[in-house]
Amino acid sequence: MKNILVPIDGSEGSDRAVTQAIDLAEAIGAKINFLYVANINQLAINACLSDAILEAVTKAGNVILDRAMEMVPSGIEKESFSETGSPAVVILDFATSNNMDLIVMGSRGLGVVKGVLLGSVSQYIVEQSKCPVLVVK
Amino acid sequence: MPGEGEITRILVPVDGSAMSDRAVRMAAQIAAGVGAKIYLLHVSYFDSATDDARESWLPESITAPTGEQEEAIMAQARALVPAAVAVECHHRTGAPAEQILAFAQQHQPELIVIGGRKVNAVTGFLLGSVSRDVLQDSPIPVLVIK
Repeated sequence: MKNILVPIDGSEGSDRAVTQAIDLAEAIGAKINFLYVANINQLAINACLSDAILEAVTKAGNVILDRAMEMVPSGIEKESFSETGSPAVVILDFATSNNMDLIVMGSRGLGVVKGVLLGSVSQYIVEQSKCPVLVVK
Repeated sequence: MPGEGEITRILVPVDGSAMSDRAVRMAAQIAAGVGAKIYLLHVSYFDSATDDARESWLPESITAPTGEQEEAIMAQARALVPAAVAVECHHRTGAPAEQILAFAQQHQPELIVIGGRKVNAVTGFLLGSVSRDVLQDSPIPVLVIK
């Protein structure tokens, strides 16, 4: 396994996934690819969102990505990516287009609904992914 | 207590399927990398205790002792783990997801590796029900193999 995809959103669950991904990457010698997806519709970007708003969202995403990158010890290859769109779809497309061998993600993200053990994005990805998915609780 | 995120025990439920074999191979790869021990777990609904001593009028294929089949499934899985990786083989009877989670509760693995998609025309892309239940209720990370 050469490439691990770690979708992140800055949530606690996401942080736990990052820790787990780092351990795995270390153990199997894989590269970590962090992906932040800003949940913004392309139409909205074209039609109504001002550049300032898009810039703000991208900046927030970069803060989250930078934080994750900092958690990775030296010696482990890493890279960060920022995208916009529907998270589950973008994550899966990214995994396929970039030949990811494994996806490591939190079970719940920022959309917290009490009592839900497995969030909608994680659920969708586990079901539809062509590569293995490690769901971190 | 292992450090946060450290994997020392990996639980791999097995059922003799090709998907289950993939789970074992993946678990073995991780175990080799982190120095973890693998627990192979086969859950069946029946065991030799449920075998009837009397001969039955039903065909042998239905009433044959289940022990042989269980042993074969375990041997198949065991063969996929390289000699350098520590392995323990276990068997439980009962509802699969329930037994898998109970075993995890008892042995405290840090990771469960389980096959995902059931190769089934009806369920299509959906996860097998056992994988889905384990994924849903497991308090520890679950690696779903495709």
